[in-house]
Amino acid sequence: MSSAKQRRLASAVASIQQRYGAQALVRGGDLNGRTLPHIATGFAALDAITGCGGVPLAALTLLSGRSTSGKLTLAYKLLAQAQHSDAQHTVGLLDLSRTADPDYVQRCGVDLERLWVARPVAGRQAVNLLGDLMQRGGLRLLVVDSLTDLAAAPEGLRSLHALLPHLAQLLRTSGGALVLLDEPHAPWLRWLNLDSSQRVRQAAALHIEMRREQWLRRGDALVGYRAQAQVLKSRWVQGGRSTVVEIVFNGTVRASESW
Amino acid sequence: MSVLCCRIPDFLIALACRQTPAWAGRPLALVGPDDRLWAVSPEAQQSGVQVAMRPAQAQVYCPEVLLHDLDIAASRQAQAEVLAVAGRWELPVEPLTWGALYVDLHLVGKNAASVRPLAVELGQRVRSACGAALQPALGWDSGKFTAHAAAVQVMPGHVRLVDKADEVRFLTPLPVTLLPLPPLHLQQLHWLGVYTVGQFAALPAAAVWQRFGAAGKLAQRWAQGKDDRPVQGRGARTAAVTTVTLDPPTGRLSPVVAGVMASLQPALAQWAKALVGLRHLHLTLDFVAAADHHLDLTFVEPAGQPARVEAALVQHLTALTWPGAVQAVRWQALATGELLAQQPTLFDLPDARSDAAAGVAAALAGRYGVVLWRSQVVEPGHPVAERRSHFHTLLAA
Repeated sequence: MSSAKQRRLASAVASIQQRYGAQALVRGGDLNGRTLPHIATGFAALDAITGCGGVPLAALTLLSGRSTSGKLTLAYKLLAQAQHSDAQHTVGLLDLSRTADPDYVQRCGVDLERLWVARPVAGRQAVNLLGDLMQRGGLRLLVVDSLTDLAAAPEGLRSLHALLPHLAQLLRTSGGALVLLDEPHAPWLRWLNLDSSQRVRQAAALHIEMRREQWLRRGDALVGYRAQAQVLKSRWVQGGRSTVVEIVFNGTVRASESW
Repeated sequence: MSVLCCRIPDFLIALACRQTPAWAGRPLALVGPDDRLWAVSPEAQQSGVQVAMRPAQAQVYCPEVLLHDLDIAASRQAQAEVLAVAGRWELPVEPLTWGALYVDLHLVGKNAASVRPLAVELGQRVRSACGAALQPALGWDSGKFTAHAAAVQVMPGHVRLVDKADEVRFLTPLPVTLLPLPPLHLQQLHWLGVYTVGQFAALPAAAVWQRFGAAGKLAQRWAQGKDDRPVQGRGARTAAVTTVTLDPPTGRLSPVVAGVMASLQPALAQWAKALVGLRHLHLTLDFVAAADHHLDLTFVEPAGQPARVEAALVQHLTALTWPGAVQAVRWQALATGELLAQQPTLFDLPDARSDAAAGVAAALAGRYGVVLWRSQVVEPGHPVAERRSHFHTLLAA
């Protein structure tokens, strides 16, 4: 390329970057090795296998697992991590199951002053509220507990399916992360068209499934449990990777990979 | 009634461009004495710059924006010129905002045929007095709201006359945002699927009253073409003086502000019901063993929200050097004005974070009821989880 052409190109790039911001136009080679915007989970081993360093911002994450598998604790840890990254960040919890215990949430490290708890009536209203919160709330992270409650009524499920295409745009605009908690579904349900969260799984950028492996005991006392976190889907790495996290509930919840 | 509305779009910007022609067609914003944008050109608005932003915010949205201080003296002089031109007929003239006014024509013209030559004459007079850069748009109707709506709809240099028979047909397709309702109410109307003035006019009156109160009821009457407000000429009213006595006298800011606001808020609430806001507040501070000090608070657009008035009051009192303790404050609302359709928030609220939460909660409450909560742990050691904490609504934040 001649020097005149190079100068014109450099001038064009500079004017575009000046007008639309430095990130508006970058070389393809510069994208390699760039860290994706994310919220760390607090479990280093889990962060390593998600492909984006944790839970992605401006994207949908699905966190599934049975009761006592550790998914809610992981979600609360995420809320705390999202708050810690900046003193101005506010987070939200759409508590459809109405089981949130502020004491436990606080012991997971969440600043309750910067946590909004929304408790709408489940169904279409909850889905609409989800959209409005993402649009206007300015939240860094919104956790929905849970997708099962959100899609319990047929109208709620229909509204959710209608919202999904817009949700991606809302997330990109707001820059916040959305984490949906879900129960695992038996594989045969999809053949009978009874798997209510199939379309959410397709829309999710990251899908982590939690499974409790064993209880942790110290002497006769039960002090926690070990859970396996498996990345079923990730937009950035091949799915199927798994790691083990330990959740200890001796007064506070610590993120520790080994006892 | 017969009301002619004369409106010069982007008056302050057009005035600045008349003085400095090189600014014409470029993104321009004028900064007021409170370090906020008082006027923004359409080119800058396209980049997201809005009235009431700080200059630094404007530069983030539009790096090429030209920021210049507003020449208030020149603006007032130009406004006076426009009022003087309209006042030559010796008919009642009521200023609406910068470069906008109402003229009562009921003595000289009651139908479109008789009003048209008068409107054309007024437009030509304003243009010859202020220059071609300040082209007025004129609207006429039997009520103020429709006349203003007609002036907003028509291009500068033109006149739109709305006959009584065509009034409803004219108003029906117009956007509901032309009504000077608070932003929250407009947002609720949007959620309800009410987008036009005609849709709002067709709502059941009782439902409008229940949801939007007296202000909503009044706005609905205007939307139906039933606006019987008279044009009030200047100098027709004398405002009462309210005295706030501070016992004991204080040299601190907060008791003075609280005292003034406590007496001012009922008046603001009363005006808000009539969709009227405060335009000019005169304050006299009575200091112990010192001369009285006079303060004039002038709002670029009529203020209907107590938070805006309070913020302006705090700003002026903070900038003042107090010679001693204050023993009494006298205030007088020298001018009130019709609230404009889009009310910008000129000042930051005291606590941005909690008010953001309250704002979102209040906005969502209109649609979902009380759904946003904040929790607080009150008894961490209690064996029953439900008794360890309680939730309080964000609406009270």
